Amino acid sequence: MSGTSQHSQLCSILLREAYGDLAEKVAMCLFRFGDLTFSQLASHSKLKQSKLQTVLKGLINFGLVQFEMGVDAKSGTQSNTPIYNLCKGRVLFLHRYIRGVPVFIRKFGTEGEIVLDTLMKCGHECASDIIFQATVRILKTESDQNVASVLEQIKGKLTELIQFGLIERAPSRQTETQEKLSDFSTPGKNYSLKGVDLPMMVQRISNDILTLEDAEDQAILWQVSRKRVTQLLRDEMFAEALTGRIDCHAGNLVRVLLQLMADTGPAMADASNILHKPFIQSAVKNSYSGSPLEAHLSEYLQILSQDSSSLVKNLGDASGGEYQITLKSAILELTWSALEKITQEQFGTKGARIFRVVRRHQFILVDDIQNHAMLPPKEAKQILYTLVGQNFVHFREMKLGTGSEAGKTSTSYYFFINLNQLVRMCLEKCYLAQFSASVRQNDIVSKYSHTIQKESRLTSLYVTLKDQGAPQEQLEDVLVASYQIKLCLT
Amino acid sequence: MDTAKVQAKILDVLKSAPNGIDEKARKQLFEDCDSSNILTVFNGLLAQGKIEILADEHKNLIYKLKEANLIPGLEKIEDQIVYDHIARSGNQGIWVRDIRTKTNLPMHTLSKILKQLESKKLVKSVKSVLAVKRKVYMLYDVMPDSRVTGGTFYQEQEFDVEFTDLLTQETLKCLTKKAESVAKLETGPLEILTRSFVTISDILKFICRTKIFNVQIKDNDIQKILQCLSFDGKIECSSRVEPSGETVECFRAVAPLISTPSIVRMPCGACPLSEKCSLTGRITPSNCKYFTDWLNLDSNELIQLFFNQNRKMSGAAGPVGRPMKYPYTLSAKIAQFPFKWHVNNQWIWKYYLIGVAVCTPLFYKIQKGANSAANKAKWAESQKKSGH
Repeated sequence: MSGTSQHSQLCSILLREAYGDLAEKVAMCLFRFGDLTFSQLASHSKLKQSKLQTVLKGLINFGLVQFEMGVDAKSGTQSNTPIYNLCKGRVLFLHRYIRGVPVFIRKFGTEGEIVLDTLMKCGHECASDIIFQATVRILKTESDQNVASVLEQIKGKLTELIQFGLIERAPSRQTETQEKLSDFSTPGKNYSLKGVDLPMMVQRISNDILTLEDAEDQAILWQVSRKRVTQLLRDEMFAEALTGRIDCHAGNLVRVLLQLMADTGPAMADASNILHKPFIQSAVKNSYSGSPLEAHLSEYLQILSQDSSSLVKNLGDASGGEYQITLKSAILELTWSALEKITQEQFGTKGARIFRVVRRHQFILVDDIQNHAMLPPKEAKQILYTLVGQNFVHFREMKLGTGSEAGKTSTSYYFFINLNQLVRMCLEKCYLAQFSASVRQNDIVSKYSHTIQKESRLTSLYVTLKDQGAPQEQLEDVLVASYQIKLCLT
Repeated sequence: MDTAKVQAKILDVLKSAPNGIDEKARKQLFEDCDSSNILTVFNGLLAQGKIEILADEHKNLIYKLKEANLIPGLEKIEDQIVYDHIARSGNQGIWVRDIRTKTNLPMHTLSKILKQLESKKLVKSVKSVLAVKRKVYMLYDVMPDSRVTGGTFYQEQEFDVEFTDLLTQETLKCLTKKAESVAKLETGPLEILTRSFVTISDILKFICRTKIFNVQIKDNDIQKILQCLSFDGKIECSSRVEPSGETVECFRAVAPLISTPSIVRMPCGACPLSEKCSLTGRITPSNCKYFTDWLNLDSNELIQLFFNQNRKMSGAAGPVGRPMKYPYTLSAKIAQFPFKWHVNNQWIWKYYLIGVAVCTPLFYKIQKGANSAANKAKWAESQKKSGH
């Protein structure tokens, strides 16, 4: 099933930027035509079979394409023909991952982010390879660091990421049957990496051998967990919202509560299991011992349960207090807030005011809108009709008859907001904006590619001249020229 | 019974019944009198304006004593009727068309009567905010209702935007100041939250202290402003129980739940032409002016800067290495021709080249074979035999 045109355009450009034209061609065939067999894919993409095989291997390695054995239409049994399908969510994840980079840096440091980035670029990799490649990458920029200590640090970060759940097991290359990821047990919080030979890596790097072969743990592959990254970004979104609304301690409490929700049940459920106050207290004590949050936990819980964000619900006072995380209602509130902000930016404060009036009083007449919004009648109508024109607000016609046969019928227009439609419209706008930004970026880079090359040549020229001991005037000329080009590029 | 006596009896009965008497009571009271005489007397009293006949909800007639006509100068019954209708409308006022419907007077007569009443300063016309072109009439001394004038927020039947904005700002200032002063307290978060709430009376006191407004502001007005601010997402409402046991509404300033979404920080988020934007056509991301302004890039300036710098570096008289903006010369046209695109996207060029590549050695072999010395000799011999 194909998505909307904006969605497909965005996926196309993301795939082309990340994996090249061929991968984009194959993936977009799957996007447009749905599930395809190998031969169907070859005919649609017009690629040679050998090339198509290579491209498919790469896409499967990065988790963008999945395959399963098809079902024979006549007999209903499983056939030997694999059917390939594109994971559209995984394509958009390429962009969403970038959004999470500041969060990863904040939580796991630069080293942790480098480990994740290395694994994202590889798709699936064993732990030894990940550690080795991440270390080589760090040493390229910071060559004066001790290799053994960097390796140890990276190994620690990788273990931390696995324990946190951001990195999960991937199916192994060497097994013949398709292993299901659900067959693997989730690495617990006490998981430790095995089969990682750090001294061998130190030796290889010291001898300038920048590739790793025959690692002991080659059979155990890891990949970035898309679900966990999405969950982490969602949790951070809630924490930031409540930090801005209340204070940083409320944000920290939200993080603790969402972690407890994930520990005690499904992380993406509409509502969590009941969380008792002593349980929350012990979790807060583990993470934020001695902070004002621990001292005023009851007050913060009360504030959160009374807040209009509807994230926390107080179910009663049994066992010291029973609380529940109501994710569905909280996400709904955040969605409305986002839509109100978008309306405010696009139509001004008055437009946002009318939007909120219609939201609060679904199916409302024009005169009532004007009374509630405290605006001059003409201006209120003008803004309302602009909102209707842009599909932010909808209306329904109601004809009211007088009852008599030849009587007049009066038509009233009731205004309301169709949330699903509005959200879909804003989502399409997001896809279009991302696509336009990528197109413009590529356009600028290609247009000024010679300028960029010139700047890099000047920089290397400056370094060379400086090493050779060139006169100061010559160095200054090169510097000025390089600076002018930098001004052009900024 | 004598007409005068009947008249006096009717007036006495009606005086003792301030709410009037119904038809049944009338018949009972005057059953000893001649009915036609009674009706004549009643009509006479009606004509004199001493009594009035009303209809109740069940459409039964009620006979009521009319209040004495204290208005001098209203000699005609039509003037009186119009005046009475206007008086009954109270502070809401009555529209001309409604008076006409009720009195069945022709328009020109009604207009004359209304002008006369206005000149005698008995009635006045007021423009209603509900319908701008409509004038309503009410008694001269009556203050029009807020629904007619619009209330505190209307000035000369028009919404006073400046006044409303100023009052909104001052109300928000009161709430924000309270929140800021309370945030500095070194107490628990719940106490800070509770103390940051403010009641309507507190806000009213704050505004009165500022002495900015000459108009008297009431609780209802502040209530409307607070409702407006809650629709702006700047405040939230709660209720608290006072020590007296009374539940009062209170308000506090709040920060928005989320900051500005990234989509609206980009030009595409608020672009009015996003539906027409595509890779081809007049509006594309590559030539979008909104993008240019947002990125603060002007491509002409950039190219000029580059040329100036390049000239300085190389000492050349003109630009070097830049492709022509438009290929004016044949060599520029050839240089800018998209050969690669044509070869990649049109099969004929690719297969033509393949054909040439395959055929060239074949043709060379044939040519070589045909022009070899042995073949030439063979040909000469065959020609000789055939006699050429």
